[in-house]
Amino acid sequence: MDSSGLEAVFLANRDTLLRFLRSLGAGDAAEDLLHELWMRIQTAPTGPIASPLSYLYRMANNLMLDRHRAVRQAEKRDREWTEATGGPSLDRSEEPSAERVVIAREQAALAETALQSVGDRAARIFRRHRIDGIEQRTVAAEFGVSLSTVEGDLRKAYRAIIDAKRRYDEA
Amino acid sequence: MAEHDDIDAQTLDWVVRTGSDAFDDWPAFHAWLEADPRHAAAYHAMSADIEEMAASVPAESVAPVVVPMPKRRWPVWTGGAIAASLAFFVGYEAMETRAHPYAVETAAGAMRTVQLADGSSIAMGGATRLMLDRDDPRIATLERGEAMFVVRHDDRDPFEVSVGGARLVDVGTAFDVKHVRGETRVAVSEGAVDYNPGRDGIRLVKGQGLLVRDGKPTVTAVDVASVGSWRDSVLAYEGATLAEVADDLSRALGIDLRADPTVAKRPFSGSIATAKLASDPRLAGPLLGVAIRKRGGHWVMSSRS
Repeated sequence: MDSSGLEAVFLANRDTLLRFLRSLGAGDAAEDLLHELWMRIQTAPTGPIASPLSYLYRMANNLMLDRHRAVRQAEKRDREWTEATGGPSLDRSEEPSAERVVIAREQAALAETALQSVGDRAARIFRRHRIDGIEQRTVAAEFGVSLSTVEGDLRKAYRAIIDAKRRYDEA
Repeated sequence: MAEHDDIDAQTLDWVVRTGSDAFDDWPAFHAWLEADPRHAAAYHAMSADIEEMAASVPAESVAPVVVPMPKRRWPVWTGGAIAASLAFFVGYEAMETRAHPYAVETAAGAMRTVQLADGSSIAMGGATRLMLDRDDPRIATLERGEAMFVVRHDDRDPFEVSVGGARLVDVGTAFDVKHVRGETRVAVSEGAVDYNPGRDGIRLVKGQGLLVRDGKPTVTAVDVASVGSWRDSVLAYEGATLAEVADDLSRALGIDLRADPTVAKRPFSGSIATAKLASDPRLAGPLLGVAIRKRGGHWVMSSRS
């Protein structure tokens, strides 16, 4: 399937994709985001795609994850700026503040401890997938285990670091 | 509380599953999101939390997992035990064939060509490390350095290179990949390569290259004739920084050459024949428009005068 085939699948599933974006919290921006998705499939020529609808779903999901990440970072910067100066400002610094450096170090220590608690294989699988960015199936092959074992290990590792982060944020 | 924990557990499951490129049960995920508006918020919050924590984990200095070949110890056989144990060994062999990654590494100043079982070849530059797999000649991971892949194409089983967390999938190809200082560069001299199919989905064709800096891919034009020319001891550049040139020369010559901050960002276009530089790196100075001096145990490029 080439990109014109992808376009056809996009058009046939336009409403589904729009609903998917809304279900991920796109709100009023859903139409704009759908348009962005359309632009992306046109400007990024693609190789043969085994299952085009999955491909479009994934692109939409990534688009929403990117958007939430950007919003969250902006909120965080604003919050830190407000805390540091006692008032909001447009003049934001991208440089890490001393406080942010301390927080990052504390989080790194927490993540390390949390990973140590889940066992060696789960910790290594987490690193391979999340730090080295290796796809889950490839990780499974590397470790000689099934994909569901990789999923199970990732659930364990994610759970441990999320719990650590929540305890930290509450403290 | 119980309901809250329920959502939390379901969210975790979806975060894990949608994190795989192989995931295809999107309609079920969609239905879960639509079932309760809290689900989307939980999904995004958890994804972001994991990302933030993962980003804080320092990269490990030790080499990545290498599954070792287990030692085969042959027991002392006694008569009928062979037949009795046969079934056991069939199972054992099957387990052995899953994945056998191994590393191939070159020292700075060295070059090496690896011939793969499928007829493909990989030329490795200096200070380069590749992970290959004995049982799957169609995958390679470039951990650092530079390598030129000349790949025998197979539509049903495309050759795949992992680099800097991204995937390159060949579409009938010769291409060069470089991964140094956190940046990835790709240059295609024949055929085409797909960068991160399924996510970024960028197809690079002959004469195109890609620069990935801070996770952002930018498509560039490259001179086909100079792709992989380092194999003939010629480094070719079009608007590269001197910092990058210094890095390449270090790997090609087996020396430690650095660009000092006053010249590191200066652009350079042109070709450098490295053969004669091994004996005296200072010879590259006039071509690069810098002075090269020995300082302590390494060489430094700096402003002339």
